[in-house]
Amino acid sequence: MAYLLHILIIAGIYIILTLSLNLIIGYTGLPALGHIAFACIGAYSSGILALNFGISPWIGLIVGACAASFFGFVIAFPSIRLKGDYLALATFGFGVIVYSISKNWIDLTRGPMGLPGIPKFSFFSYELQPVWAYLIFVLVFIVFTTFIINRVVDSPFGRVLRSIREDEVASLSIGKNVNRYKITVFVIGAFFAGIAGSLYAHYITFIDPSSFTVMESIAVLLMVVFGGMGSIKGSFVGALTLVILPEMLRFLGMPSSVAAPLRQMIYGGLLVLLMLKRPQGIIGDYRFR
Amino acid sequence: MNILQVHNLSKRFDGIQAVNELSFNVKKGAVTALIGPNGSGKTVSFNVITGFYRPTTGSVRFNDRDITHLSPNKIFHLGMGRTFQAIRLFPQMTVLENVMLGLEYNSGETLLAALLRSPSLIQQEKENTEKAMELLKTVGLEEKFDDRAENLSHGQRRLLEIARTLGTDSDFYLFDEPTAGVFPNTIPKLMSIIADLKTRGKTILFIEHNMKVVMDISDHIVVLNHGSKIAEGTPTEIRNNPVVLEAYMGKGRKIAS
Amino acid sequence: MVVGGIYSLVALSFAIIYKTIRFFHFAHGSVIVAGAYIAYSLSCFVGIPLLLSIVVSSLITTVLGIVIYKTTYSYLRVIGSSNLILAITSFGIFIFIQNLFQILYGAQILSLKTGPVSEGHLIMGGTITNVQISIIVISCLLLVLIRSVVVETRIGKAIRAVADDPLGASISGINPERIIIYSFGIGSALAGLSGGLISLESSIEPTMGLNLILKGIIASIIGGLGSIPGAVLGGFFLGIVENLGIWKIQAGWKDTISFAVLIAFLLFRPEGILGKRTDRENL
Repeated sequence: MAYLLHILIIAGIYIILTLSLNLIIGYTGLPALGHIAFACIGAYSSGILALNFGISPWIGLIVGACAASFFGFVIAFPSIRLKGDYLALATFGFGVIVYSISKNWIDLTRGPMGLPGIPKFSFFSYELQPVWAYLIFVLVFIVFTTFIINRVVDSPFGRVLRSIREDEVASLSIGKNVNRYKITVFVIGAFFAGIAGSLYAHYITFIDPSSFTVMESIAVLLMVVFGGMGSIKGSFVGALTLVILPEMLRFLGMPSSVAAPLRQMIYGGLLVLLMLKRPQGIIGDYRFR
Repeated sequence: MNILQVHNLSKRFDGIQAVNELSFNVKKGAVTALIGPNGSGKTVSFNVITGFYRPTTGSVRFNDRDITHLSPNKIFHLGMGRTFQAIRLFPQMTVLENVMLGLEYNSGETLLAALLRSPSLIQQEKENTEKAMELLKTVGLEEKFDDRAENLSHGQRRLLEIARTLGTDSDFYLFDEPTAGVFPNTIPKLMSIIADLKTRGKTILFIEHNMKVVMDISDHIVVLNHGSKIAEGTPTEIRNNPVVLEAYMGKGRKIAS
Repeated sequence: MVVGGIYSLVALSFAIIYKTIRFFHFAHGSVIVAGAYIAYSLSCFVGIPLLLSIVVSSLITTVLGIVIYKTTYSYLRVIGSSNLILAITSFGIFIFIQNLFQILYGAQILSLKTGPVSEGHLIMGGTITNVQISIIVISCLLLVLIRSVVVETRIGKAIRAVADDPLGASISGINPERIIIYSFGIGSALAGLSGGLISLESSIEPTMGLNLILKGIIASIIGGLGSIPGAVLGGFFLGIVENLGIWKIQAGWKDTISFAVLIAFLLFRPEGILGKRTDRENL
């Protein structure tokens, strides 16, 4: 039972990640690979502040999310003028750089040894120890994220985002400051990814660079694509399916040396099939050409 | 007065001189046509004027303000609205949404407005929806308001793009081949839209291949060939200009209406 | 320098394909990995002499590359998919093949190194082995070879025609589809060759593909996408910069340096060293 709750918490954190990435890729059409870097920044900010400075996870969470947004702005500002493939490559490169920093800047992050012993969240003096309590905690954040993202996309602002996705040139020709919109969604997406990272850090209480690799970015991308680009419900479907289904593979009794690459092989194959047959994903209704 | 002044404009692409020291002016309130054989640099000129291309040399002045290096969205806000040769719509958005994107929103399209969702935003959305429906009625597309733009016929798409552009309430409209590919029976409607804009004091510059349309509604014509201006004048002058006739030789006769 | 040679090989094989297909064929990285593993299998399990193994492996990867094209990209291009879709598909293929090899061969590190890593020749204060020399020499030879193929032969000219203007090329009687298959074939053959050669010099592991293809792409961009000598130039440039970099800073920062260089080029000189500036917006 505790195991099931644990899986749901992880799925919940991925839901937040997927929602945040969907805003950038799905609604606005920006090929942002390397998104996990923002979660990495959120997680490490929160963790380092708690461990080295005794700062409460609540503040750590906010600082982590803001730090992630800040870097979202930093990477977006120069890059959004880049054409599609090049933007993908640049954001991907950013992901690699952040991973590299977390692995090599030993003084700051303890590198591959990671940060153990990160404190959990507490309400006044009640520590969020039991798993079910944390699940509810994560659910609150999911509701918050969904509410904000829904407000963002279901509005004139969101309509402009979709126009950018459909035809940037036309959008410019009717006066939309496309660059400003693109940077804004990067910052918002990074913010929520930072929250997700922080939630992760204070739950698992141990983080190391291996949680924030390229493959993780691809996994979140897959969740967005599978569930449906540009669909909030799709993000839920994508994240839940792609977190829970592989766990069921575990019960098939395969050795872990096979299970891990097999799972990724399935991811890869799924990605290809989706692109060939149904690029809009399970629920999405925007056909990415 | 001249609302637009194009001076010594040149645009070079990797070895091809698309536009060569082009200079012309557009008078405020007039309907000016930009014509010439295929490849003569008309659309490229449009794109430079509206800020999508940076000119190699030369300048563009709008309302006596240098706009040569401004971005397209800034130029739009100065009062210029345009359509595209290839019709640029938002294909998977509805017809209504396409038009609403062209309407003015004050600060309604910002993130803050989206998050707050104030009553005034909701009110403005309602008003703009009505305005958009009115515009769709003008072009006869109000029944299709909820269809995806991609599901329209070519002619309907052209009308939709025009509706969106009309909604921008610009001072200066640039239409790139507005009658291309539409059914002949739609053309009178397009011409009446242009005429109506003129009576409301708007200025129009348009690219056209349909000579009848050009001759019927233009006050002034500028003729390009191989990126340079070869003639300029009233429809009567252009119709009889030997240089122009030679440029079009083999392309089809001009109709003496 | 050696690293530069490796990157050049990879970049060259990638650039040939990019020239005609114009999107980032990430899966190419897994074709390289396949080349390494197949060469290894042929030489260790089947007992074929080393050099022959590499050649045979290249033939197999040629087929692999073409199969990848025909089953996925070809269809997507016909239905007019954007580069984003193609890139995501390519990523999917890459992950699929890479993990397939991980399952088949395990995650351990294999090697085709011949004999002890010992003696080499002393040049400019560093040692360099025969294998390393041959890698550099081969990449330069291949550059010259491919360059002359592209400039002189009919196929080469056809490839350039399709690269510049697919519609025009088809009007002149060239079949773009067939030419794309040729370039996939040549590129994938070179990929297999690279894989084999690389495994002579360093170890084989299933995850090597990502790093190699990324460096290959970066090298191509630095040198100028669509320019074949550019790819080779970019490869050497990248190799040198990387090694200069880690001279001053720790080895772990190697990738950061490469990507930082990439981002710098993307922002300030996207057309690369040898590329030409073009106005992108097609209105």
